[in-house]
Amino acid sequence: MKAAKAFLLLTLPLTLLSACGLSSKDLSGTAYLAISIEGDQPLTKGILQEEVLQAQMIVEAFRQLHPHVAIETNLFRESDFIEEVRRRQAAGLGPDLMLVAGSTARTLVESDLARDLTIPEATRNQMDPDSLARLEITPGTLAGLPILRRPQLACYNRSKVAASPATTVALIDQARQGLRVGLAVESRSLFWSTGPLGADRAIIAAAAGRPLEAKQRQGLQRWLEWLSAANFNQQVFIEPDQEALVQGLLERRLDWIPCNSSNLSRLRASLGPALGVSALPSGPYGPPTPITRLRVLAFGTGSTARQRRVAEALAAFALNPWIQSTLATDNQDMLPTNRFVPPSALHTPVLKAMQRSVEQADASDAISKLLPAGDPRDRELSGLVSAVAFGELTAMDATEAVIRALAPVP
Amino acid sequence: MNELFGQILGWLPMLSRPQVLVQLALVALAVVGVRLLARRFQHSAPHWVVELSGTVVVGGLGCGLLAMARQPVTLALLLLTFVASLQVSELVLRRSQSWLPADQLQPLRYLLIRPFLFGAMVWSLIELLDTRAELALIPLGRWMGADVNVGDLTWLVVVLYLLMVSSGPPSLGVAWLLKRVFALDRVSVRAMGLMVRYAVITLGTVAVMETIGFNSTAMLAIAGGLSVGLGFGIKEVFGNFVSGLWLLFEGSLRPGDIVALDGDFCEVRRLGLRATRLWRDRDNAELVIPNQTFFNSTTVEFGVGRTRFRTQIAISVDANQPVKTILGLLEEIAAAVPGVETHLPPKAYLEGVGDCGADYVLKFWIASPFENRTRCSAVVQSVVERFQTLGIELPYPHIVIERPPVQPSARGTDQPGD
Repeated sequence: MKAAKAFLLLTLPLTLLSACGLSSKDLSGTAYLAISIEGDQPLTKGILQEEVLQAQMIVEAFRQLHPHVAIETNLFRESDFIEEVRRRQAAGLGPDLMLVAGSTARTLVESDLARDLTIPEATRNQMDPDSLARLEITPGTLAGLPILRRPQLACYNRSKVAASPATTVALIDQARQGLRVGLAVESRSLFWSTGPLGADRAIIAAAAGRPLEAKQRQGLQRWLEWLSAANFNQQVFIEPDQEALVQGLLERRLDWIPCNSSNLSRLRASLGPALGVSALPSGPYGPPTPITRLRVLAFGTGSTARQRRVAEALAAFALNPWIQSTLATDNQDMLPTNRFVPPSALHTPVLKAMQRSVEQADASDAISKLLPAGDPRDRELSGLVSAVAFGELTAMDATEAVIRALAPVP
Repeated sequence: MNELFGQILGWLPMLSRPQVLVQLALVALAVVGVRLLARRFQHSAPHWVVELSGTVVVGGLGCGLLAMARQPVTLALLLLTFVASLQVSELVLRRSQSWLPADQLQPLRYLLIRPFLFGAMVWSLIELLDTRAELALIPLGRWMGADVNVGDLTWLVVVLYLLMVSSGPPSLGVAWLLKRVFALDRVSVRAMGLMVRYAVITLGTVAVMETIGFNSTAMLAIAGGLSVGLGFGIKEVFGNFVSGLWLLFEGSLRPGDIVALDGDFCEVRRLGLRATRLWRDRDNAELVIPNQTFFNSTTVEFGVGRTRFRTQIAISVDANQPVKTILGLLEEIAAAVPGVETHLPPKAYLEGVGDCGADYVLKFWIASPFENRTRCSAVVQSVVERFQTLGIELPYPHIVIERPPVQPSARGTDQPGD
């Protein structure tokens, strides 16, 4: 009898819980949103707010339309994201929605951890074609919905330097004159500098497993030499990751860093009007190759019908030109993916710099596809770059090692 | 705090998913069904063995079926592993009853095994429902000048728990080493171990609080306030605690010692921090005596290994007997009684001459105060029997009523009222 009571006590609340929402016809319920964060640094309040900020704004606006909806957010590292989702999915506790990098969205669909999407032509026409191309799995099906773009920029302290150096040569020259420049050995943070030094094609070819031409090999060696020489400059500081660069600028230890647009809200809060934002420097061999982080909403596979409805409604809402335009103009730390956002909404210097960065990101789109965030080759490349920067490896020796490290695993 | 509760409440809708409900139902079925099964077969097999086998079989079959149907099983596996681990631990503890003291089983069960298993389950469950790193950043408020979040509080609680649970044996090791190095013979290892343990716990707690960023001035102020509060509020408890520590440190009272309490001899069984547990031989009772008692009153104590007790009997002998002969006889009789120490010979004395005869006292040594009553009785018995054999009178107090002789009256009759 006691055992039967215990059974009832255990199952009754769950039964009630599962039944309590069924009567409502309005959009209601709780959906779970998993957000990926880049880098391996420990999670801090600042990083958390930065990563959740845009999602929170979308959710808040969405809840004004649907007050009975709740969205619970969870943050996972981009490198562990697939495993985390797999583990939760195996328990039936997988997320309903996932805000991830484009490459991660593709892997999620390929691993059956997210469902692919077939979206109406009208919706498709609204989206930025580059973003769509990055997410297309088969003609007509997408790995997720592109929600926002976070381009890479140059962030600097205006009280130390009036304008960002336009070229890599000027950057090093200004560093000689006292400008404290920060660079991170993380390949995704440093990849922008391969274009100005003519190494971008070499890295793309190596990551694709194609043999390198002599010219490409020379470009790669030139880039590594530049990094090695830069570190000999007392005013160029090589940091382990992007977060260390942001902290350096926040604490006024650094005056100029490559940054991601997602860092802008934090930097703006600390530096105020002293924060300068512009496109990254070009070089003698070409324009910069900044990496634009495409943030995509992917859909989980374990949702209930109600959670699925909420997730789909939220994704559609996030694509809305009004919300995209509001997010872009209010925060000035992202670019919309909806083509119907009026250009007048993107007229500020910061948004213009972001647009320029996106235009320059052709080469880096290729590297984003070939070397997705969290790829073990990415970590190996960072290790080699670090060894060259700190003089443990010569640029010539490192060239071959980089080619070997980037070769795709069969 | 609201944010934390909000986050925890946010987990509940996740449980409404059919695939989660199926897993929870499987676990409930395994737990309840197996318990009913164990009750039915409680006479044919040990309770915990049936429960463990049942959980493994029912849980394994259920999970297997779910996996075959390509349904999620990790949650069910996690909860069933917790239940099975609990059952295994009970089984092991029951088997350990034969060699592990009973008073160590309960702390092992309730302070180590169950909290550890429960903590591990909650830890894994949180990792499935949320992100620990994100949860750790939820602010709880500003305490003692520091912004405290869930991670800080968890860190503090875990360190405190680990220090309290695991600092015992290492502290005893350090104490043993200190005792050996500084040749502190009179100080008990347990007392030093306790001192070391409290020092480690205090330092560890302060270090964690410092790491979190608690203001040390505020901590000192709270410690001061707490001391005053302790002084007034629980003076007796605190007094007993300090007395206990002092007794342990001084080494004046140790388990195995014999103390005289209100005329009864008792053995010290356990020296606690608040009270000392004594065993009374007379009625086989256990007495819990506040430690302060040993500080506020004179205590007769026989330490372990030095319990030899000098006792005595008093006897009156016919005063006409030669004193020298009686003294010799008494010493000889006592020495022959089993249990009376012979290497410290009994000694008899003449105390004086009383109403009943010559009063003698016979003093002799016995191994333990607990033998006092039986040995004294044996010696008296031997003396009485030997004196009776020898025809020596053992006078005893008696009253002789002598009636005055009746005087005959002149008239031949007594007149009442005369």
